Amino acid sequence: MKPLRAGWPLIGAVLFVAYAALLIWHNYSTQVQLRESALAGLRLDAEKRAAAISYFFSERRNDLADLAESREISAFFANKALQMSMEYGLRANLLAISQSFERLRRQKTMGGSPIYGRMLLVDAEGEVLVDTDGEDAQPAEPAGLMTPGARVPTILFDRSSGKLAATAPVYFKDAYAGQVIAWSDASHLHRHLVEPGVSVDQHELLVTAEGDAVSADDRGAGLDAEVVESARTLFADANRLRGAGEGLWAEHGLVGAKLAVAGTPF
Amino acid sequence: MKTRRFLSILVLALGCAALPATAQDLQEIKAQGVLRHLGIPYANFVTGSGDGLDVEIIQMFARHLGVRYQYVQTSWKSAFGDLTGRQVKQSGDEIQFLGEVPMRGDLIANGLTMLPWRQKLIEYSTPTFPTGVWLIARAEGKSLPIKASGDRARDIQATKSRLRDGSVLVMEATCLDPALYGLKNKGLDLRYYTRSTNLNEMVPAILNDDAQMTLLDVPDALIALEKWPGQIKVIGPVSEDQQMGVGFRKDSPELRKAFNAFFQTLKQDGTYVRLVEKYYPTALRYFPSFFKDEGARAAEPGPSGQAKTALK
Repeated sequence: MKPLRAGWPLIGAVLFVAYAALLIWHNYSTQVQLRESALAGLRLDAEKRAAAISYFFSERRNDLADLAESREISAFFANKALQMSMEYGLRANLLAISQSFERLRRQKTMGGSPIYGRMLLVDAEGEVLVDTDGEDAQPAEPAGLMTPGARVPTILFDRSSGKLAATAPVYFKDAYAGQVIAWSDASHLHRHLVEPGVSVDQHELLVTAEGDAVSADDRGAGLDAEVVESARTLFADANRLRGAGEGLWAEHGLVGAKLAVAGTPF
Repeated sequence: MKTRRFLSILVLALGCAALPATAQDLQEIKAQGVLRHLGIPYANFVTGSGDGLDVEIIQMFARHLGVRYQYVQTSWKSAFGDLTGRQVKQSGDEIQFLGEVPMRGDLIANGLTMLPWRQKLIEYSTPTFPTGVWLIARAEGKSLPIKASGDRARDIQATKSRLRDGSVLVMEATCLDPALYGLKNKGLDLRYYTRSTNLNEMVPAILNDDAQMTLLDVPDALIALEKWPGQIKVIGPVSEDQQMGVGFRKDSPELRKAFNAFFQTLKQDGTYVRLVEKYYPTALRYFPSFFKDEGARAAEPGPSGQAKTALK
């Protein structure tokens, strides 16, 4: 039996180190894959939510466009053009319009709550013709929501009130005749489209382009303030996001994905 | 002798056939087990397809009495004879008896306007629906709608002055009879619609150029404005506020009393509001004074709650 050559232990050590390095590299690459997989999952999840939110806004635009082109509203403006008086005929048209508003409010719900709050029909001069909130409500201020130059509905977000205002121009014989306006509470988005299905170690925020949370429910509720601030800073910093590639980012031991939601006023 | 006897039996038999056994009042109707509803397809009161505001009310009334419901179609010309057994001719507020006819029904319900000449012939239930008569014109007609003054009498005068702008379609022996509104012998171009006695045809007739304008019941006009938006216009009122009710024979007081009591329960339990909303969705708020109790009921929470909305 030949004695072991002096070099073998060294070779063994080298092989062991190489094996250990291989294991470490394998472990690392598995971790990287897992993280990438988690990020991909996160992104996919965010994409689904973004699509749902985008669909929500698309549906609201469709609702308003349908109302603005409805038979009830056309009939009113047609009869108004014929110089009919409110007392003898026109008022019936307005009643039919108010009923179509009420019908929409009953039909369009999320989780059992009506999507739409107050709804208005305003003439081209800004005079309110139909107001679902009634005479006792605070006077509506539709001035900033008139879009006489537009052809399609617009949705605006008022951060101070947390309300979304969907507004659609009404045309009669190709001339601007008035506006249909409907308000909706942005917290619906958080409650029914952002929050559901989010795991305990996951946070979803719907933010404006400036990084402000859209819904009051989102503004720090149940979230670590540092996380919210971190997300806010990151979301607001386009350059940093660009560096993170495809809206994925990692900071403070967190991984995240930012996605633009098409068709929103944010 | 034999021939004479045969003839007298024949005459008696024919006489019996001409006067069919007919329920007179509540007890007889209950005994016969059937309530015969005389109706004329008109607006959404009797749609002609088996339903309508008045059809549903009378069907419920028959169920309430525990008798079978039977719809008997009639016409404006023969409805009162079919109810009372007495054929009449109407001229303005006056009526003239022409003879006996078979009684074919126990009540008339099809948006029957309460008019003085009818009240000489029949009894009405408590008012079931508000109405009035408006002047309607084709959209492109030269007559312009009046500007409401807030004074009905002045608005009626203004509307009547528009009657000279063109031909006006009217129908005798109905609530659209020009004699009821002092329009006869005034040099107006009145066109009597005789193609049928169906009031639903008045608007299609002016759209078909039979005349430039027509008189129309307010409930019918509200439906017409929805059916033909932009094709017709309301010029203004021709009458003061009117009311509709269910018509009964004068010798059926118990039936009328039973109906009035039943109708009151319909109003109290909300059934009537639901029916009005079904057939005349805008009526509750268009006639707020008539429906003031029902309007309050409609404003209660629920699918019909809508009273909060403000209109210009």
